[in-house]
Amino acid sequence: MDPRDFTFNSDYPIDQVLEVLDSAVLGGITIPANTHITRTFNTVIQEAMLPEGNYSVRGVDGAKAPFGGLIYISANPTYFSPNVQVWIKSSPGSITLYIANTDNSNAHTIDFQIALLARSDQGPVDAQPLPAEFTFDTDLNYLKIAKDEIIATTAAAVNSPSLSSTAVYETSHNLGYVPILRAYMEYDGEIMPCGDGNTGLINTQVAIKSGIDANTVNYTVFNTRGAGNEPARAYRVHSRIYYDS
Amino acid sequence: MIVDPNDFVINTDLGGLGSPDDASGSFNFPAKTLSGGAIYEHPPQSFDVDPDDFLTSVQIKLGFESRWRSVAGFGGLAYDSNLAPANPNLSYPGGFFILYYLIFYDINPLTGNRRVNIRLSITSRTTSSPTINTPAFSVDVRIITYQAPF
Repeated sequence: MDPRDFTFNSDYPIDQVLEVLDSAVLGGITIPANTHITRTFNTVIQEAMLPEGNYSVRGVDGAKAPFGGLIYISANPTYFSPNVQVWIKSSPGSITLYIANTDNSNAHTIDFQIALLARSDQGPVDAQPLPAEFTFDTDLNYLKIAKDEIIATTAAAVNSPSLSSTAVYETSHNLGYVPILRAYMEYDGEIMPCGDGNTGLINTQVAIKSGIDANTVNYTVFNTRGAGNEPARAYRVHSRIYYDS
Repeated sequence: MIVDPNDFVINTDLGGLGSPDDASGSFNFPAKTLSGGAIYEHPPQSFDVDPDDFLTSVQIKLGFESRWRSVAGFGGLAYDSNLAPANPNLSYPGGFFILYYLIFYDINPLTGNRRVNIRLSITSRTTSSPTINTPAFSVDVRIITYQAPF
């Protein structure tokens, strides 16, 4: 059996969505011109979870971006064109959105959809009914988790601005092909999604990078971008490698 | 109802992320000569996905690297002097090299599908960096999309 095909089998756990948050219910968030703000929303489950989702900017037709991404206001932007960027973190009992608007002239309103996934060390929870009807459909596939682990690591102190320290961790999966993965940075009990970008930078001054091949995954944790000295920081990387490719 | 989501669970109060669509492809990034601080922005490369998709996982592999990168949003791909010398096919005087990706989604006006746009830029690191010569390289892209219980 190829676990990349549609299958339900108790040997292959899948992501479990524990809660969702939707601006259709909570309302959009308006951010003034040329500023950045934070907004916090409570969650029913009083634990940090693995946050995923995207956001859009009203008036920018059809555009969505993952948290940590950029949405340009103009239709034909250049690198430094005005944009709206949103990051997310999950804390025990809440999520926080960090929103930056680089448009000097206009306020903008964002909408968002957030799905909070169970951690590998989540433990029992009081499941909350989700707004959409429950369906499993063989026209869809559901990513099956091949290896789920939490990697504790420490990035050394940084003693000069603009420099960074790194910690590298390699884990094997030995699937023989390049799998899909998700990774999250946990620092001080708060969790942020991290791919190869700077999604984790805004409040903890960290980021992770991932490199994948047919047998291994490398994570490089950066302690960086400090305006001054940065202390050594202990992190946990939530690494979720899927059978799917 | 108390459930343990780390056990195998099918519970109507929990949701799953169905993946209905995927896309893949590649494009070529041209060779460039850049003076200190100059930026070359490659035209966005677009990949159509389902218009209703909720999440997208994107992986990128640069032709001069052996590993795929799991990317999200915005950031640097290869950006310091420690990366370039490890690659025998590249030569960056001074070792300064920055490559950014930007990924965003919009609606393809021709198809009505949502599309993932990948923007790559290349630049020398600072205005005081020496002129750099970067070779052409390929960029492979894999995209998987998901639906969520909204």
